[in-house]
Amino acid sequence: YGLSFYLTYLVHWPEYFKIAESSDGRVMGYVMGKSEGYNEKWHGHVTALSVAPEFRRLGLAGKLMAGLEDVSEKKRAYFVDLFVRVSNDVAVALYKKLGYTVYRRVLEYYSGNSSPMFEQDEDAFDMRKSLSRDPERKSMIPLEKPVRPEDVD
Amino acid sequence: QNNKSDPRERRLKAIYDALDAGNNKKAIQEAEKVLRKEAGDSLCAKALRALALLRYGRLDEATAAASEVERVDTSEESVLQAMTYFYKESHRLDLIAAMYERAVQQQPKSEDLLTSLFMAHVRVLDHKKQQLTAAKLHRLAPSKNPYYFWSVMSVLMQATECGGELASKMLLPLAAKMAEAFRDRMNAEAEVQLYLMVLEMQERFEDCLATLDGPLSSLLSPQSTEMTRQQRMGYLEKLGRKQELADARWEDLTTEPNDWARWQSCIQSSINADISQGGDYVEADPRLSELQSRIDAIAAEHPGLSGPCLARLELMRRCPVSCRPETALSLMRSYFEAFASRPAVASDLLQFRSLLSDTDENSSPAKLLELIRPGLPEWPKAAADADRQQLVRDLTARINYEQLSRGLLNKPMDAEQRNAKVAELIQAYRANLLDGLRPTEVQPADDLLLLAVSLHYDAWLVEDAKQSETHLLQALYLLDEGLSGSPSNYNIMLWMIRLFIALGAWTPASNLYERLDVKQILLESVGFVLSRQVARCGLLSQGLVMLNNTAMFYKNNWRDIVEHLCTAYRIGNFRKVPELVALTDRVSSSLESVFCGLELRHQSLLLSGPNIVEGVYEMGAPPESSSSAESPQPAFDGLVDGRDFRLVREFRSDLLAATADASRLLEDERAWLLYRSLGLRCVSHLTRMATEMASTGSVTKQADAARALKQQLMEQSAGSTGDSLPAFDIEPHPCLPYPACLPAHFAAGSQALLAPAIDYFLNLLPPSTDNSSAGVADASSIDPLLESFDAQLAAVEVINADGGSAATAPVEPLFGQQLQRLSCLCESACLLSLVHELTAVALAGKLAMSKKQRRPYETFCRTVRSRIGDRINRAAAALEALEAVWKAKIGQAWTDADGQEETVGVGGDDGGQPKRRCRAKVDELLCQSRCRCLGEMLNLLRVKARLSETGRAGGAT
Repeated sequence: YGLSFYLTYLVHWPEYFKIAESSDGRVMGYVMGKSEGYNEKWHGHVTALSVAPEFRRLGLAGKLMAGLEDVSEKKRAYFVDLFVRVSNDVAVALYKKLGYTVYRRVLEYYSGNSSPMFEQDEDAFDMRKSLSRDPERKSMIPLEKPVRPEDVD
Repeated sequence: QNNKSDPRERRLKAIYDALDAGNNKKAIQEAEKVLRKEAGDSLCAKALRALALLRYGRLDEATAAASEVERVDTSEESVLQAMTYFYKESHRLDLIAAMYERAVQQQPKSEDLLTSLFMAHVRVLDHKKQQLTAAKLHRLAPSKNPYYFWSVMSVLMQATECGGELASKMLLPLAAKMAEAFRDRMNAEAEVQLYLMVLEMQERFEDCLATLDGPLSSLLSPQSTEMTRQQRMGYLEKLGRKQELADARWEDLTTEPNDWARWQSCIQSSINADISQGGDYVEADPRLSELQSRIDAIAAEHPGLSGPCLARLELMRRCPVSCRPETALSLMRSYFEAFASRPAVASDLLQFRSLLSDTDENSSPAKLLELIRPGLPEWPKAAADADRQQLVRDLTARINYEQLSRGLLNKPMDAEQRNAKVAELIQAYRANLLDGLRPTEVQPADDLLLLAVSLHYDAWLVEDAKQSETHLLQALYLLDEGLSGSPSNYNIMLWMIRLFIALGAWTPASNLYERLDVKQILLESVGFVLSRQVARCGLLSQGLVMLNNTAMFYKNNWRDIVEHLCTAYRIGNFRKVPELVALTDRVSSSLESVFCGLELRHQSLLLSGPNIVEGVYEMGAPPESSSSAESPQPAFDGLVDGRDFRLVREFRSDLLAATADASRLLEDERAWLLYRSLGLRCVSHLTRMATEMASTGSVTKQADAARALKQQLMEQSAGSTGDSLPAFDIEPHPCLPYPACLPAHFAAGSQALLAPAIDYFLNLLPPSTDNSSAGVADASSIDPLLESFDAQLAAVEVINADGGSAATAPVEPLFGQQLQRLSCLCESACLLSLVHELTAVALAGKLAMSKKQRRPYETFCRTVRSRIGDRINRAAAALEALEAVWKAKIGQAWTDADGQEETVGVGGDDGGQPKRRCRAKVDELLCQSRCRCLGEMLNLLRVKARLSETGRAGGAT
């Protein structure tokens, strides 16, 4: 991301930045997010979660996500949500393990040519996990039909 | 837009729409239409036209249009907004403030205008004026807290900026008084935090603690609990309340017993608390064993956690009296045995290497390896039915062992050992490639391949094999194989960039750099892997693009950061204000930014083609040299080096040590920047000399300045070629600049031309020109300049002679070094060409004289032209011959590869040999890229040669 993107988050939601450092001072991973929405849609959102390849399989993603969920709890959010490439089965499996379910599919959410790795447009799963303020897990009930990116609120 | 019936609004909307759609040409037309219809009355249309012209790239017209708007004082919101965009996009933030100052004079009671004025001051970091403006806002709207606290924050920022007594005796007490006056009216967390910031700067930490415990703490939000905990511990530390701090740290640890940062603070604060109570530790100190048991108890409570196990080692490191090498060895052994199948265990342990003994065999690094080896799993083999998770665990344990062993033994192997190890590693690598990984995932076995690459690199460094490309090529072949299985492994790509550059192949290196997707902030930390190479790879247009992108990144970011600073004020996130201001400082003192800026100017000067003289003016001399030559050379102090030298993983601590000497590395860079800026000043001064000579017919005004510049040049050359900077010294760590820019450049003989060029111009005209027919300098005055060039040319012609035959070793064994020498030769040829151009400029006045009088000048010019042209042609011939050698090799690699059977198979006993397909591919890439570099340089030389042939210098201007 551009510096400006990070700064927007840093100025508005500094509490949502978490970083993991190794014993010899390397950055192993980080998470950033925000809180937004009104009434029962007031929720925490995972904007980026990243773990360096050499530090995978240490449970860092779970730790970082737990930190973000904790902040969202304290902010009295109803749920936490995130978007993930439908092809990214490793990440989807991880989020499922952490208690997230696919709430809906967002068509062509990721545009092609955004990185040398991905040349095609791709759909996203919008995945959600209810927090303690939503004990009946209403916010997690899946939608049947996919939505267009412009209809995502 | 509400009033859709108003035709004027409708017409303006058409301009806005065109601008929003990025159709700037249409926006210009729409604006001009409005201006025609309204007889030029619409100020808004004028402002929008200026903006559209700017975005369309018609800068002169844009500036003219903008100054037309500036002449009218207005407080019309739409005009002010359009002009704000205009100033932002032309990087003139200062003019926004000036514009709103004028607007506020017209409407002094407008809260909106004053707010805009406040933000305009924020953008240029004018804290004093911020304060005054915020005070005005507060007087207008006394019930609005934010305005009041804007002024408190502005006072605080003035204190941060000026420091010293003014801050401590006047500004900070003022800020504190202002904040305290509003204590009862505070109603937001941000205001409490601002109050704390003031107290912190006043070092009133007791008051800080009291505030955290007092009634104001009710304003702190639940999500800030973590931050306030940290704040509280920070205050205890400042107050020297060591026991309380230690207690708080241990309590903090219990919530996250695997958090390494917390362990480090815990151990350190316990040591500090103990020592402050009763002196230094001694052996068998009961306090020490108490601390050890405390750590052991937590370790026992959480058996699966690695943090508590490392904590015992950390205690030994921080408190050497507690260290017994045999205990360290046994702790490290059990750590490895417990966690071997997890990633990064080797680097966890290697930081404690110094706790082992180098003298006692029983607690030596070798002993540790000997003890853990029997417990290792067998090399696994990937197969369809294998349990993948188990396989990765076993593989990781073996990788950890190999990495640990490299780091613990810390020395290169002999050739036999090394070949056997490479074979073992590569076979294990090939046997353990996993199917079905996403392209963004890396193969776990890649680390084995990278270790084999390190071994080849060791061999190249140690065996004085720097004379040959063999080991580097072997490493590259393996890396190419690795990349095809792991297309996003950045370690592989960084290694390849480094090796391709060493072998003089810019294009593949630059392609990999693009594939790494280095952009944005990565330019600061990673960009150096390529930006440092532009100068040594020939004068490439691709390099210019790269430097330009980086320069733009820094320029635009400054503007972006101050916009976020405005937001921080607007939403009252005062904690971020000093951080963002510090970030603007950081951006402007970035080494990478200055480096790329200077290099860009230098490269564009050399590439600027036939209008080189105009080119110098156009891009302007570097700002630090825009004054006269006598002004002191910029020292480039205070630059911040953001390069991340730990990008490529290395485990040998002796090699890592080279990256740790940050000051030496920065010193190398500063020497280079000084050299480059001196070179640029010199060129811009020569240009100025030539034009002044043309108008005055004398050099007297410029002579002293030129001599001063020459003196500086000589001094720097003398200082930089001394023993302290050995030429072509290869940096031992793969991530370091290879070799440092300046010594490599000097070794290639590049600096030698500038001083004689100044001498030549000083001698070009005699001091007095009263007798106009006499006095043209002797054509031999150019001899020293040409001699320097001939020396460079001779060195290149030696390379050339050897390039075709393998019988004799070339002067520079690596093509990367040869290329650097050629690149320096090209730079010199460009400078010669400039001298020839400037000769014509300097003598222009003389050449316009009557036919009889101008003859000696014409003869002189012609001689200079032909002698310089001859040199450039010879340089081109040398390059052409070398290019022919490499052109002939294109395609051969594939023929060779196709001609033989591939015997290397998966898991076969092939001795870890590179695959033939990879060899052919890399060899071909090298040939093509070398040809391309040579070709580009050759084209440049031909342009310069043609220039001297067409005789621009011979004719009158």
